[in-house]
Amino acid sequence: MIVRIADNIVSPLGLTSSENYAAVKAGRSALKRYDGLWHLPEPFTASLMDREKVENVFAELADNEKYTFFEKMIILSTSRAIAEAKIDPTSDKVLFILSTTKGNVFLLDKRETGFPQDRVLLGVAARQMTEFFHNPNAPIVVSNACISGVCAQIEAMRNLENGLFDHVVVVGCDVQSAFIVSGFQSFKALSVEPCMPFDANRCGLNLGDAAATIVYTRKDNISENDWVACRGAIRNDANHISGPSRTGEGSYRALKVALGDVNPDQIAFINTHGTATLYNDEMESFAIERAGLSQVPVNGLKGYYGHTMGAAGIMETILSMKAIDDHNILATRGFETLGVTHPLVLSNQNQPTDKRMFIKLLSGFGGCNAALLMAKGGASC
Amino acid sequence: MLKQLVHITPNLVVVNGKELVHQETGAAMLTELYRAYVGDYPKFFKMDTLSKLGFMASELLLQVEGAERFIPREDRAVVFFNRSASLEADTAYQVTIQDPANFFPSPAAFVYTLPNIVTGEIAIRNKYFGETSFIVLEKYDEPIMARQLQNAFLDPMTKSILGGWVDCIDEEHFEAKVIIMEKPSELPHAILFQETIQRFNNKFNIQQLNNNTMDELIYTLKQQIIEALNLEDMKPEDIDENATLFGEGLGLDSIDALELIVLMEKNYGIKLQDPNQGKEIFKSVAVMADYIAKNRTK
Repeated sequence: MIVRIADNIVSPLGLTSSENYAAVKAGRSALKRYDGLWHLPEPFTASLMDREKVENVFAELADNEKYTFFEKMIILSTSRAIAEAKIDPTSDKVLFILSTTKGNVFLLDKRETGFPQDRVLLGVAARQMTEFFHNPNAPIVVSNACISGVCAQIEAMRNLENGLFDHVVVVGCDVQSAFIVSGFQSFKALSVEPCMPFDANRCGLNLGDAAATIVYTRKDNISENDWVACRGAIRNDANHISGPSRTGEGSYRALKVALGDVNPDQIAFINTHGTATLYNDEMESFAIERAGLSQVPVNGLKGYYGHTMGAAGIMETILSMKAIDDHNILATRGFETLGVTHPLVLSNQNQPTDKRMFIKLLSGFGGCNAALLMAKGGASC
Repeated sequence: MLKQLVHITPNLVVVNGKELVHQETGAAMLTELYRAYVGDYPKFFKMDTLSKLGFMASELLLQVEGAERFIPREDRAVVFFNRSASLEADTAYQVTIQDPANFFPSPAAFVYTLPNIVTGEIAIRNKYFGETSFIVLEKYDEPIMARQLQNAFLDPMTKSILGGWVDCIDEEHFEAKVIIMEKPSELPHAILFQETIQRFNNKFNIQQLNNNTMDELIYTLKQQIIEALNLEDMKPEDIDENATLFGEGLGLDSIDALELIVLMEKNYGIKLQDPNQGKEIFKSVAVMADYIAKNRTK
């Protein structure tokens, strides 16, 4: 089976998975309003890293001048996870997979200097990380819009299942910039206030900086506390490039494959994409109903971090594992009154659970959707 | 298990070893192909070049595959790879936000700043509900693509894949090498992308394909030389690839040689340290192209 051996989250709420989980459990949010940042004419609310703090911590690892902010984030997060995993990153049996949508895209801005233009290429950015660890394998970059974090974990599982690698380091990261914020603004997809997932008054998403890493390995004798990545699936809506299917076509299908023949009663919760846009949350509610999972509690974590794009699928998987370790279903911050047509079990308070499985669900531009079933102890996979 | 193979560059379209006739080059050629082989899908005109390229590659493949089309299905995955992600769209979008005095972020440009949009375009066109995936690599790498395509068959429903390389830098620089492959009967020792390409090449006379690729490179190289050396009154056709570049032939001088060294590094990632090496390599366009094909890193 494919088992998690270490993880890390670097976000405005902390530099370890535990710090992040404790902050989210306590209801803290990193969302703040920014006026005039990066010369943007419109204000926006986002969860942004303190760049200086990252530089201070990074100075212990390497020369700040050599790496972009994006590269520092992925190196910081992976180096902590790798240290915890006690694996040798120089081994050719270790593969690095990067999940990102925009990488170093801010380098396209003519005002940005100091780095060669080719660092805007995702493969070249990923190479900065593998070179840092002296890993001999070519890194692969999963760039599947907002579902990249789950896709990257599925790629990790497959590369372990076929026996080509012993360990896979999966890191997800995106850092915000005028490019991304203005783009979502042009789409009228951003809320100027902190987002309200699944709420009747929701009016859009917030964006966020984060990096998150999981190290996976292959293991035969599963212990009770091992986190097993059971099954994942990626499915397309075949409907529209920038809007989700009204009937949740792709999410429903991905959920069905990920669930397999597991009884929904065994699922503690579905951690949704829950971006707080009108269409996404409505679509997810329909997909969950169609998959026969209406009775399973759902939650969404965008009220704490905003949408962290390439990091989201990995960060939210880690927080969900931590929550089940703590017998907890994390609260959906920003949610007040259910505002989707297909009923969901949802709360803005933490709720107890003794169940040991969850599903991570994501959807994104290009009509893509992904679902991943995770099980503690792996018995029910 | 490989069923079909299409190879598209700005000057060349080869479907299952057969070269298609066209007048235009670059993005205009893709539009010409659209008019000749599709014609009834106006969404095409809204796409960025990466999506147009992937779309036309898939259309040409699916037309020769000959199976009944547009029937909803979940057993076919679309898995693409490239080097440049959505660089053309990213650059186009950046233009709309670069000048604070003329700040008009374009949503139509922004939507294409994700490379996987092309997989969505193909899924929408064909009603594919299966897996769609986009992976960015440092360079064209058949063993890695083979590994990842083989992995994609680990999905319990995927029985065939439309996939391969789809890279676009801009309207004049792109390449697609896309196949349809069916699930091999035995995993994991079954057919790899590499092997299938190989087999295909044997079947359809690889020599021809290679020659075409080399012709392609020679033509591009001539264009680049004309541009780098400001030979404005010349066309690629005017340069004989076997003629001497320096002295009698094209009559280039030592400053031109330095420009060619820059050209080699800029366009192909080849660093020439020793000027004497240059004398050999810059003998003719054909010799240069041969050296590039063997040593290029981009």
